[in-house]
Amino acid sequence: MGSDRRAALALTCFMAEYGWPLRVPAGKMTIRELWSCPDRLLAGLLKLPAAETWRIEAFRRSFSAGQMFEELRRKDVTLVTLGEEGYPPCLAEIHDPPLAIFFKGSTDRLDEFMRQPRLAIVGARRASLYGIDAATALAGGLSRHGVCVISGMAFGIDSAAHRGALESRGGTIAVLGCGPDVVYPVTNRLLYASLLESGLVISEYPPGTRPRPWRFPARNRIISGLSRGVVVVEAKEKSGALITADFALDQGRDVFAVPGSIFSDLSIGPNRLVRGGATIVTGAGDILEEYGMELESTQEKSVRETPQDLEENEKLVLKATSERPRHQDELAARSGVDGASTAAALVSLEIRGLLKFEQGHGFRRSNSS
Amino acid sequence: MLARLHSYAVLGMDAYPVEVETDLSRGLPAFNIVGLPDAAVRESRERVRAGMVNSQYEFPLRRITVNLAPADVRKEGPSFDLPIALSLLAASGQLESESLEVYGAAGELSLDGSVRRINGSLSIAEAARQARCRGVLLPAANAEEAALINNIEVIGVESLSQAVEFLKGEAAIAPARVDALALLSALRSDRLDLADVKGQEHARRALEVCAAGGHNLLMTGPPGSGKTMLARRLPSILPPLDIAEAIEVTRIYSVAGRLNSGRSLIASRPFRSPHHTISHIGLTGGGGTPKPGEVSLSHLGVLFLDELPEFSRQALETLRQPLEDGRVSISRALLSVTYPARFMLVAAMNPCPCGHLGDARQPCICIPQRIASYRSRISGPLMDRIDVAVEVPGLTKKEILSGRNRESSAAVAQRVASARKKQSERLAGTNTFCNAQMSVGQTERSCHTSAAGARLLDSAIERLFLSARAHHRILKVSRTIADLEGVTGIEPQHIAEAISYRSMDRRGWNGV
Repeated sequence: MGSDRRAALALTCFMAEYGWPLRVPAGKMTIRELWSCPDRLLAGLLKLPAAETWRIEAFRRSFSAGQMFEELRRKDVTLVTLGEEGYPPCLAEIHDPPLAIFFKGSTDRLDEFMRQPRLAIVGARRASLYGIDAATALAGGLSRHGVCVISGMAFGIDSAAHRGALESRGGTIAVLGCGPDVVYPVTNRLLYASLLESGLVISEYPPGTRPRPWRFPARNRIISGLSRGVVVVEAKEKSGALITADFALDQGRDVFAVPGSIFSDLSIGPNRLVRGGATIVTGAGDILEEYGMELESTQEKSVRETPQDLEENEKLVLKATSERPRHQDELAARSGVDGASTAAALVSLEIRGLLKFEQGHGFRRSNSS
Repeated sequence: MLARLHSYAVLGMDAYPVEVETDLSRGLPAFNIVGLPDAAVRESRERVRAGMVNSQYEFPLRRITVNLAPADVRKEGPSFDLPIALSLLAASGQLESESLEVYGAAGELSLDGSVRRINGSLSIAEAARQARCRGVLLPAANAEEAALINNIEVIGVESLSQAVEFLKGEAAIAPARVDALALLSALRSDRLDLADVKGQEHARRALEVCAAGGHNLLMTGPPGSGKTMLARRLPSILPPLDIAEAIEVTRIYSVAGRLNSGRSLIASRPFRSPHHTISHIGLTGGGGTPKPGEVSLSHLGVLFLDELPEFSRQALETLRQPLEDGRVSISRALLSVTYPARFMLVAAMNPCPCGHLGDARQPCICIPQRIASYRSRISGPLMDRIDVAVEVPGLTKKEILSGRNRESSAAVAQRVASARKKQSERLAGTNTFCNAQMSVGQTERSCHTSAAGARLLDSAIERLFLSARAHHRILKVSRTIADLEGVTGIEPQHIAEAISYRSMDRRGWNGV
C-alpha cells in the first residue's frame, strides 16, 4: 500500500512539474506497476513525445518521495490517492480522476462534506454586483439547507460563493489551480484563512505549485467531479465557468444557470446554457426542489426568531426593514422614529445580527442568523 | 548724501523690517539696487524714475546706490517702490523732514506717481508697531485692512506727492481708523441656509455633529444627491468668527493678496472648494515667493474637496500635516515659512466610478474590482483623519418635491454653539478647542462612557468587524453627540449613533 502511495505521489508530482495535460491510462495496471515501467514504455503510456523521455529519467533522479512526505507533514497537507479509502468516490467515477489529491483541512471534514449533497457555483472573475449578490445569496441559501458549496476561490463569483457559504456557517470546498498552500489571488488571503478554518482547500497539485494558466481548466473537472450539479452565475462567451459546465455534462452532472440581462456580456454564458437546456435558477429553492429537498420558509424563520426584548424604537425600525436594503433616511421616515434614534437603533439591531449593512445600499434584514 | 528710511517686507505670515539706504555720489549717472533684490525689485528703478519725474520732482543725475538691509535676505515684490523714491528724494535734498525717522513706508508706484495696493499690509502694520514706529505710510487702498492693527498710525497715501507733502508737514492726513466690530457685523453674510436642503436627514445630522465637534466629514453619494449643497451650508451653522479670529484670517488673505477694497476684513468663515486638478503646491502653499495655499485660505473655515478620489495622490497626502498640526510648514532651499491651516475638511465622493452604486434612480454599472481601486485611491492615513463618513442617497423627484421645510441654519447653529461652549469649558487650559482635536490621552480623560456604553462599543467592534483604530474616533464623535444633547456621560445611544457615522470602518468599504 505504502509504495502505491509513493508511486501515485511521484507520478502526480511529475505531471504537475511537466505541465503537459498528461492522461493516465485507465484500468490496465496499478499505479505502482505503471511507475515502475521502464522510462521509454512509461513515456509511451503517458503519450509523452519520445524526445521528452529524458524528463522522466531526470525526474526519477531528483525526486525523493521521503522528502515530499516530509514537506506534506510540515505544511499540514493531507494526501489521498486514487483507490485509497477516503478518496472522494464521486471523483473516482469520472473518466480522468486525479491520481492523488492534496488538501488542507481534516480528513473528518472531508468525509463529512462527502456525505453532504454538494453543488458547485462558478462564474466570471470580473463579475457585476448582480452576479456577486446572486452567488452570495444562492450559496447562503444552499448551505443553510445542508448543501456543501464547491468553487474555485477565484475573484468575483467564486469568492462570493465561498463567502456566502461561510457566512451561513455551511460547508464549502475550494478547488485550486495551484498547490493547496498557495494563495491565489493573493488578495483572497482572508478568504483563504476562513476556508482553512471552517472549509476545505483541495488541489491535485503538490504544495508549492505556482498557478499557471493551463492548470485552471484542468482543475475545473475536479470542481464538477466533486459536485452533483454546477450552477453558472455569470460568464462571458469564453469563460472557464463554461468549461466547468462542459465537464459537468460529460460527467453526467446537472447544469444550472442564473439568467441575466440579454444586453450584458456577462449573461451570454448562462443564457446560452439555458437555451441549451440548463435548468433556470432564480433562488436556492429551485435547486433544492430539483433534488426533492424541503425548503424552509425564510418568512417563518424571521417571524420565529424576532426577539421579544427589543426596545420600542428598535421594534419600529426593525418593522420598517425588508429583505432589500433601505437607506437610513427611508427607514426613519417609514418607522416615524427621529434620525438620531434610528441611527442608534440600527446599530444595535445590527450588533444583534438582525440586520446587515451593505456599503452604498443601506440596511436589510439579515437571513443568515 | 545719504538717506535712510524704514520699510518692511513680508515673509510667510510675518513682515520683517528692511532699512532702505540711498547714497548719491559723484560719477557716471547710474542707479543700482543691492541687497538681493528679485526681478520685481530691480524693475522698481524704472517705476521710481518715471513716478518721480511725472510727480514734478527732479531725478538726480548722479551715481545712485540703494541698499536694502539686511543684505542677505532675498527681497521680492514691488512694495519697495515708495520707500526707495522717498529716500531718493531725501538724499537729493528735495525732502527734508524729521518724520522720516518715525514713519515707515511701503507701496508700489505707478508711472504717473500714484501709489498702488500691495499684499500683506496687515503684517507690515503689525511689524511697524512691533518696531515702535509712530506710523506707517501705506497705499490708501490698503489703509483700511492695516488699520485693524491698533496703536499705530496708518497713513493711507494716494500718490508720491501726497506722501512727500505729509512728511514735510505741508498737508495733514488723518490716520485711518476702522471700527473692527462694526465692520465685522456689517460684512458678515450668510446667504445660504440649511433649510434649503430637502430630505437627507442622516447627512444633515452628521453635518451638525461635525460642526459641533470640529470633525472632518466625508460624504459618499451619487451625483446630484446634494453633497455640495450640504457642504456649502456648513459655515452657516458654525459659530461666527470673533474679532480676533477674523483678523487672523484677514491677515492670511492680506498676505495672499486676496483682499479688495470694500472687503478689507474677512468676516465670515472661509469656504474654499478647489478643483480636483489642483497641484499639491496649490493646496499647501509655496512657490518661488511663497504664498499661502488653499489649506491656509480655509484657516478657521471649511476646506471642501469635491470628487476626493480624483485629487492627485500627492495633493491628498500633503493634507496630512495640516490636518494633524493645524499649520503647514514649507521648507525650500532659501527659506522656510509656516502658515496656519486649522480647517475643517469636508470631502465628497461618488460611491463608485460610475457614481450610481446604491442609487434608486439609476443602476450601477461598475464591477467590484473597479469600485475597490476607486476607493483605495484615498489612503488609510488620510482616512484616519476623517471622523465622520456618511452615505448621502440619491433623492427621487418625488422626494425632492415633497420635502418638508426643515430646520433653519440659525436653529442648528444655536445647538452647535452650546455644544462648543461645553467643549471649551472642558478643554480649558489646553490648546485644544474642540473634540476633534483631542489627543489620545485627552480622549481617554474626557470620554467617560457608562458601563452599558462600553459594552456596546466592545460588541460593535467585535460583531461589526470594525477596525481597532475606529475605537477612539467613535469615542470622540460620541462625546460630541453627548455635548449636543447637553449631558456629561456618554450613553449607549450616543455610541450607537457615532458608529453609524463610521461607514468607512465597515466591511466592504474598499470593495468586496
